[in-house]
Amino acid sequence: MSPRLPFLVLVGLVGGSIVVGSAQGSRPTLVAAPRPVAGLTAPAVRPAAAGATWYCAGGTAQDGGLADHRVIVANPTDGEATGTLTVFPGRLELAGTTTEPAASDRTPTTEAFAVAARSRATFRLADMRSAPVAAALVELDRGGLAVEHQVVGANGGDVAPCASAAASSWHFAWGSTSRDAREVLVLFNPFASDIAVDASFATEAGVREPLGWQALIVPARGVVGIDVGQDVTRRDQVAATIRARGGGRLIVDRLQVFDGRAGRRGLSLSLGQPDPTEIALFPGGRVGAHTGERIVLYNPDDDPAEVEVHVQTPGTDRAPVQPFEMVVRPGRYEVLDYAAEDRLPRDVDHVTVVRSRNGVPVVAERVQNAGSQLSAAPGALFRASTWVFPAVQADGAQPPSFTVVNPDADHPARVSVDLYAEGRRIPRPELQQLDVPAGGRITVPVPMPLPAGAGSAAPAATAGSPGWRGASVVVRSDRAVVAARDGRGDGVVRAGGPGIPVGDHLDPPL
Amino acid sequence: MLVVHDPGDWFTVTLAALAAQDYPALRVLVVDAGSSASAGVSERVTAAMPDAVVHRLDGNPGFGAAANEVLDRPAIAAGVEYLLFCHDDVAPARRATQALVDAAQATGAGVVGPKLVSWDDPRRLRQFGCLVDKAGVAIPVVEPGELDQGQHDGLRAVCEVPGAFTLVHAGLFAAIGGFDEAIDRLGDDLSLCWRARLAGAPVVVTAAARVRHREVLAARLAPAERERLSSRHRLRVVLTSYRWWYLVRLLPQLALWSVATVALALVRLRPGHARAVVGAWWWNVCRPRSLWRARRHVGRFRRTSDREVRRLQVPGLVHPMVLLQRAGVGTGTRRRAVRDRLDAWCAGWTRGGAAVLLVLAGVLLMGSRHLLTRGVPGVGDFAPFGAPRDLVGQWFGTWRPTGLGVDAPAPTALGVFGGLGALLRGHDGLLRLACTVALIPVGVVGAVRLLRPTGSRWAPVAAAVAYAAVPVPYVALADGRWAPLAVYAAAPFLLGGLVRASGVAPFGSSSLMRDILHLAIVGGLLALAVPAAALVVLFLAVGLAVGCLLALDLRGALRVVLAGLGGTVAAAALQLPWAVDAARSWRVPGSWAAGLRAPVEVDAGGLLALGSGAVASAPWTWGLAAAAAVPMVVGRSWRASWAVRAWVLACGGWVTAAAAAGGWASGWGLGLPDPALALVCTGAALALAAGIGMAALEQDVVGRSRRLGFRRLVVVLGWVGLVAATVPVLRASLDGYWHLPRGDFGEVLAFVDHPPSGPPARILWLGDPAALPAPGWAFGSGPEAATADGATMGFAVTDGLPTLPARWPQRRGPVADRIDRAVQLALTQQTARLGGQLARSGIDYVVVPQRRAPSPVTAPEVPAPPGLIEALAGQLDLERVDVDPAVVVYRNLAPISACDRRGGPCYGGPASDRAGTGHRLLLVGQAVLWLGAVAAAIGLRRRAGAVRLPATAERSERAQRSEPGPAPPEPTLPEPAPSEPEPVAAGVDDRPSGANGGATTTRRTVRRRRSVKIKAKESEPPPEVVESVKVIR
Repeated sequence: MSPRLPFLVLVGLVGGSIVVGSAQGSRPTLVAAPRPVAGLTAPAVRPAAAGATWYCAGGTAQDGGLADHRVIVANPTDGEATGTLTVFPGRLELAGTTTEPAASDRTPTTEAFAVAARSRATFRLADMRSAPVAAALVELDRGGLAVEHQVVGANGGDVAPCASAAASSWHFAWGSTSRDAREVLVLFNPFASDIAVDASFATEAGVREPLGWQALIVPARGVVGIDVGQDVTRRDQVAATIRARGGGRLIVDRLQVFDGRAGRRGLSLSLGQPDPTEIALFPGGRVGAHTGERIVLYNPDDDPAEVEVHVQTPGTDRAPVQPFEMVVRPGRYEVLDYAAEDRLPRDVDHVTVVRSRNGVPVVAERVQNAGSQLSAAPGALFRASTWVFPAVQADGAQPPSFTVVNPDADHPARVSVDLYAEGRRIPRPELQQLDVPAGGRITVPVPMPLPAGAGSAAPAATAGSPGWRGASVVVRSDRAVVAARDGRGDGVVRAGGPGIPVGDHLDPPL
Repeated sequence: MLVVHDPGDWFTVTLAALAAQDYPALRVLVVDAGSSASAGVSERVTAAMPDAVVHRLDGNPGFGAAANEVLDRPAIAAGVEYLLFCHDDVAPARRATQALVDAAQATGAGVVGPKLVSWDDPRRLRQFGCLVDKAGVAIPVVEPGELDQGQHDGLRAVCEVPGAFTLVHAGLFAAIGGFDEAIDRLGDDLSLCWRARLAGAPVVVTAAARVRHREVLAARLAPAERERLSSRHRLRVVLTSYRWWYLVRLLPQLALWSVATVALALVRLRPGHARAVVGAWWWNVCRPRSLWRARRHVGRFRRTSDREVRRLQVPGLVHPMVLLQRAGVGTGTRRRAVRDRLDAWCAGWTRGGAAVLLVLAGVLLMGSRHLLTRGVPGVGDFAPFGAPRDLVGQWFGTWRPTGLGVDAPAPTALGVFGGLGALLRGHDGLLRLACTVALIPVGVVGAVRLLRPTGSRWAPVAAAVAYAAVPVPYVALADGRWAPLAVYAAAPFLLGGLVRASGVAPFGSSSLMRDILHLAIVGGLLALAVPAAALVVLFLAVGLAVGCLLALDLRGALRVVLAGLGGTVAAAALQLPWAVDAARSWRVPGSWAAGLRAPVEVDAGGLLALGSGAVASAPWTWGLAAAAAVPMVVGRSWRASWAVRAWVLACGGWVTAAAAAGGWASGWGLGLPDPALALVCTGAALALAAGIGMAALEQDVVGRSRRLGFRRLVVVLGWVGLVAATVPVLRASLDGYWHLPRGDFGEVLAFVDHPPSGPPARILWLGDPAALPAPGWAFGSGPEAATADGATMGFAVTDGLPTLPARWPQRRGPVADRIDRAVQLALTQQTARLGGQLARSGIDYVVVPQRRAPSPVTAPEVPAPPGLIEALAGQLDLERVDVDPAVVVYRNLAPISACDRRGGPCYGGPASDRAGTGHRLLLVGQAVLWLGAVAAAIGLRRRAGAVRLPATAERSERAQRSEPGPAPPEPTLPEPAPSEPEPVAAGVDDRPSGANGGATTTRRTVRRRRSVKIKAKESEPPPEVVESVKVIR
């Protein structure tokens, strides 16, 4: 018998097995790599992390400073957490004057701390170092903790999340250098190498790249606060992009001050946005006789962005508002002023969704004003089942409130709001098991100050912040929702910014 | 014609011998070439031979010019038929002149020479004609000093006769213009004989003419002068004798060989030899008019083509062989054996086949030219070897301070390469060259040897071309991967051992033990580079055994399996400490099976193309399969059955490669070899099939039919496929580097390798496994690994830049796990203090390669896994060091304690002394095993040689038994030349004759026919009755 015949049979079997084998399984990863947490350059809490680092850039650390800088570390978990707080003093270039810290205060100082379970710790940086501008680095030995920072000045105060990661580029959609305004960008470089950064500013007069902002050196382990108005003078609207050269990374905060000379007053603190996104959600908002709202869209990309701004009024019988279609040119911004748009219902709570139609991401920011008070905040970039608000004031005339949006159009969500303070989870029965309809929203007022006996003894960790009383608020849901502070608050103007989401893997809000 | 110059006392004997010649018509003309008066030439001649005429010249123009005086004598015109040119230091026997004339008349020879014997001891032979090669290098027929027992007696056609006593036909002498007067001493006889051949006259020697020769000229000239004169005169003969076309082909060869000779002479500290070679060219180049005139003169009397002249000469260039002998390669019997081997080797080639192999060698040389001249960049596995002392020390010890420290026996390669490095005095580059680029020609030579037993002179050529077209080694070279290269070099030899072990014609071997030893030694050598070498042996054996089963050859399958198992076990045993450690712990790392580095990715299309990359470009490489398919279609008898075996093995390689690339066995926790290793085995099998296809062409297609049928069409397609498969290799050879990056990170990262103080810094390499300079570990001990979505990433640790010891994978220990966890924390943003965590492992630098070589070298990009650079940039205690865009370097700012430093208590250390003693015992055992294996192989080889002819007969008989069809050709007996040589002249038979007869062709006769040495012919009739001369070809 010819040997070819059995061979051909064998070849057939082998070929078939190869085909079947190839069709059934794909080649596994030979060497598996842990995937970095994509998108978490925006602040987020990793509940199961072995550690966490938070960067709080903007603020001053001198008595009578522009924006007195405080850091609030909230520990809503059931275990004590330890960590270190390092204060980095820096120079401030304001109105053509450069102010350096004193020679004795030029080096960073580190302080170890512990935060008891279900507590929060507040640190005033001026108590640790005296500097015209100071940043804080918070290193924690475990996850599940959230860090915010707060600034208080003569024109008001604001609170914003600290950054949970550094980035090589930061974008701000809004800002103003008008006669009554002062926009200060605080650049924080906690790393071991100097960084050179370039900045560009988009104004109503076009894009500007001031010479002083090109190859600007941010020293290693240093902070620089620079008044944008020195180079971009008298502009009502300034969008900014700061990029580090050579893959360097840093953190940039914006301090926006209105001194009341033109009828506007307020102090706004905002963390920049590292990456533009295709979707942003602004949970709360209302346009009325004394309140105004503007959506500022900024496109730092090289392609024009086609953006739709949807304004929804869930829970009402009103007809859907026709979306606003806008084209944002590369490197430019567009402003949508709700007060000037007739199609928007007045005195009705609404939700705003910004969505890019052509895939070109944008940076969106909302500017709200109530009377003369004015503040700004970014939209929510994620949805999560747990949101943390570390710094909730307890001394307002009107209790702070929170807006929860359920982006799931098919299933309702059940939400509970808890307060944590001084080692306790403060029971609020009326805040438990709140239903949020599918695609709907609710506003939850949280009574403040704390009831008597909620915490008579201040934790040791808060010794550095006498007089500052308050609580952390945690919003939990059985579904992924978006939670934000309600900007119409308690008399002190606050932007309705989102809280800090909790989760290892977060999805866009829609 | 007696040419005399200052003769000594012996001249009286010469004159007496001439006077005693019994040739009746002998007239003597003595030319005194400027002898001094004290010599008394005229008186002494007159006293001995009163009738002799003495003609005195004023000076000594040299033998040729003096002898040419006869052209001006009227005796030429007076009808003298023969001229006898005689030195003044010879003593011919009484019948010598008559014997020369008899030989000339019997054979029609134009030039006849005698048998020259020693002056003092006539029993010792001095000369009996010479053969020459195409460069004019003379090879004496007899060994000078050889005892004359009549073993060379007879008439022989030669290329050159000794000039001491030469009979020349007078008409021929006049026609060719006598001696070349530009040649004063040494070389005149070569010129005369060559020109006589060109004029159509045979040149013979006869043993009937016996002449004692005193060889005074040797004493008159210093050896260096003799070498100088003979070199330049030999070159003049060549330059004036060949036609232009032949000269154009020959001159480059001569020039190349001259360069090599000069280089070798300089290496051997023999500047005189080098000067002679260079001077020969210079002397001739400076005489263009003389050369031109000589060529024109030759053109006027040329009657014979160069081809006819070459037919009587030794094939090729003999000088290399002579040089080997002079260099002392073998003496006595061994030298003869070496020469015989060379002859037998040369006999196995056709001119076309040799040309193809030469072209192939040229392509490989051209493709490697920059690597040969500029060195092999330290890319991938080709990192520098390191200090020999360190290598040997690590091999001898049980603790290796490599990377994170290894408390295990070192690879044997460390000892071997350390020893070689010491011998080469640290010429690391040469060793790396031999271990990388040289492995490709080694594999091709193995393919040639694999097919030699088929008896076909074209099958080895086809196999060599097919194997050279296998793209795997070139891809491996470009990737800096050592394992596929090493397997490529060894696979044909391993396959050769297995096919011989099968006992099936035409490869059958007489000794299974010898084949097992062969496999063990080759496998052991391969295991120096590839820990999985034993698996390669086993894989080839299993594949071949399955092929034998399909070919219905159970006995062959069993023998192959037996040989494979034996070879595998023995090869593993030759790596004794290593093997014992692996067997003891039973924790062979998966990367061992995968070779030295992480496997390459091969897609389904690349499998058929035997790889991926620029060299493995489909569909060109598919031509290999087409060429290998020829014997499956057209082969008969053993060609068909061996084609099936080869194809089964090839399919096995493909399936294994597909399984390895597809991770089919990962579900069972099995680590299959690197796909490239399996593809090398497939390539070897395809080369085997392609070679067999050529044998099938010769025996199953040619001559069976003259029409262009299906079988011929298949053969043509196979040819086209084979040629097409070489196209990518040809294209890649233009690069000169085989696409290997032209530089390495040695200079860029010198600051980590040689810090200002202290030992080399410890480096953590992160990134794509293909970019890591040392085999490392996979990330993924934690749950985060499961989330990997196609990105690959590994890490390795080295102390300074990697050297040879870092090439072998280390066991993963707790320190590696700690590094793994730390990096994962950084990647997942759970820490911003990676430096502090790495400091606990003594890590000084974190390096992420993003290209295979630094700028501005052209090299493939190997991008870092997504997020890695960003994660490192986000660390507070790592400081970026900008050195080159191709590599991202971070310096660890966290303090490293002395405990964690190299040599510190936390670093680890050698095992106990007891373990060290055991290890050294194992090393001694290993050395004994190696020596024993080599000695046994040599012994078996000698025994096989002693019984070679019976074994051959047995094989032939076995072949006849196993195959009813035409018997396969005798493997080591090349077929005689297809065309019978033409007679040299009337009455001269140039067929092999003598004791061997003209009808029987055996290996010995073939060898002798090619040999420059003529053996004794005991049964050869006495010279007086010889009617034909043996023509030595």
